Amino acid sequence: MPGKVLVAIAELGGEILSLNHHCEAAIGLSSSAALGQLVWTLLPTAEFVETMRDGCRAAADGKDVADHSGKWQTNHGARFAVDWGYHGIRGASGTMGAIVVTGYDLGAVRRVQGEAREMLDRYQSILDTAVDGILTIGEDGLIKSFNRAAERIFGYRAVEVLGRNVSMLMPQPYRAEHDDYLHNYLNSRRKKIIGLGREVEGLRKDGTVFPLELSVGEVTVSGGHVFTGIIRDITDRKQVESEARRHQDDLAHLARVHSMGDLAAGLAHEINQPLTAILGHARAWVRMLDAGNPDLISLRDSMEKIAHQGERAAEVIRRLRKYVERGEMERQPSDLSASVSEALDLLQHELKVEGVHVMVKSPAGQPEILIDRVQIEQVLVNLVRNAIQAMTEAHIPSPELELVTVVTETPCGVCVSVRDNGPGFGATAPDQLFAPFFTTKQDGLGQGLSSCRRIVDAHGGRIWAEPNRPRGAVFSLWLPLSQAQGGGGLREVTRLGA
Amino acid sequence: MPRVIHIVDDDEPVRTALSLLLRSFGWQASAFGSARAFLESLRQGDMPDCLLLDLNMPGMNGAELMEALASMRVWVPVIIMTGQRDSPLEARARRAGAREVLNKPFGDEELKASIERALANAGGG
Ligand SMILES: Nc1ncnc2c1ncn2[C@@H]1O[C@H](COP(=O)(O)OP(=O)(O)OP(=O)(O)O)[C@@H](O)[C@H]1O
Ligand SMILES: [Mg+2]
Repeated sequence: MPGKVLVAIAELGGEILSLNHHCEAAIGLSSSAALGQLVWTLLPTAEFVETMRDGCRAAADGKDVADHSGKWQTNHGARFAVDWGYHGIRGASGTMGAIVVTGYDLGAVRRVQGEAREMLDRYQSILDTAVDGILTIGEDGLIKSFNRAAERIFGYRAVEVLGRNVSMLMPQPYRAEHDDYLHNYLNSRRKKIIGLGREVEGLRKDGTVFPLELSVGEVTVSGGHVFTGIIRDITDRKQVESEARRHQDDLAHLARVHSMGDLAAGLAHEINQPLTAILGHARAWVRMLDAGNPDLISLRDSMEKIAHQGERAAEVIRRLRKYVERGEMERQPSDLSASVSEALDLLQHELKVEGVHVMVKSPAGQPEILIDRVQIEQVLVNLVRNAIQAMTEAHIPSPELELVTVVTETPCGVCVSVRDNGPGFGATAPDQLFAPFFTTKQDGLGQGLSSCRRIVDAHGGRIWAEPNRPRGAVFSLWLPLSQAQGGGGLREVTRLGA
Repeated sequence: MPRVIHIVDDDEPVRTALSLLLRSFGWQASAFGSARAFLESLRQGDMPDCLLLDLNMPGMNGAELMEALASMRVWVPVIIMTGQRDSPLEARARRAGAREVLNKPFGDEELKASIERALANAGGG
């Protein structure tokens, strides 16, 4: 409430009847002390005595009198600026009974205004020096303020956006939905974004869409709501993130290509087998047809076998291609035991040559988890190959490998263990094995396990080593289930919790 | 009386195809899925004129079979089949007496020439 209203009531002749307490305070005289004094000699300074006297007389005559500006004085002679007006009051009979002089202490008004302005300036300068964009909107969604950083981020001057709907700063589909959001919120008070920060998209004046982090606060101002949005342009951060992801993909690709060299020998063998069979059948039949005594039934049988061997070779190529293809992190719901058998297929030749006995245990009806299959298969290939290498180097007489998949409850996930009966890793701290470049092999790179850990980390999972009993090593890989369901899984959890 | 060629390879489609090919040349062929199965038939007195032997096999591999034959003083011309050039296993087989090596996959003429050389050497030796 800016300033105070000073009221003096006087008889038609000007003799003061009463002062309100603001007036008493302003002039430093109580009502009773002022009683009977002429209002125009007590209140104004000497130069305004006549003005007020004329005004009071006109009001007593029932005329409309213009307001005046001037100076009043205190009991001690101090002067202060006042705007005042007059008003005649009629009694029940309709005749004029008294006059009222109403003054506004301008000094007080100006003081308050000055304070308000100073506060506003300070507030504005805080807003303008903020690095984050700050804007406020009313219940109607119209923009009420827009700071410098917001101007910089969106490319609009404040004057271009003030009073317009905030949805102009959003690309579709946010734009179309925003009014409904706001409306729903005001009706239901259900928070989708208020009080929470989240990543959304913004629309610049030049039409480009950019990622931004938005947090919204709410203030209640004299019954209405004002929403404050704090906006951070995260284009750069996103770029760094996606570069890091690309870099990681490159690394994973490199590691795959590296392990390719070893795999290639085994895979070449797997292609040579069907080719040998195909050539055998085909050449045999060319000869028999030339000799002129074709038994069509056995010819058909050979053709069938040739086709089958062709498919066998194609399958090897498919597997190989899938393995080296540069995989962007591409996650799909998948059954982990399918990856286990794929990894074993890739290493089939090595396992056979080294005479490794393989046992696979996986429960039926496993839940699907969200994984990048190629990468997880690479992890399994690394673990199995390490186990084969460890057992072969130690000349284990009957090398055995066990791959066990189990579903874990707390936390929800799927775990695969690769168990061997090799020499184990002795006194080496299990975690050290995962360090990049840690190797005990003559031609090892020490990249296998460290790239496994990188992949598993990126999946939100865990990978660790333990000694096996009575001997050997166990490498286990755990992947979370909640990832698979994405938002769905989270919803599940909240429903259970509710 | 056609010459008898034995094949030892753990890969069934390869065994079947090679048997057919050898027969198309007019030879008589028998195939075995493992070194052990071949040794068993040898013990039954079933002696081939030539042995077509795969190098990479689970259990007893080709080189080990050749070493076993040498220690049993069984003399049979052997042609080694391998999918991998110049492997340590191949060197070991050569030390155990292998003269002929075929790299998989191989052509029919290549196979025929190898077998004929092996048979001729055996006949001459
Ligand atoms: N199953 C295992 N049993 C015993 N030691 C193991 C086993 N798996 C891994 N290790 C140890 O961990 C080390 C690191 O393994 P890692 O796969 O990271 O590298 P590497 O196998 O030496 O080389 P590469 O980069 O070619 O894979 C190995 O050198 C070995 O000492
Ligand atoms: Mg390794």
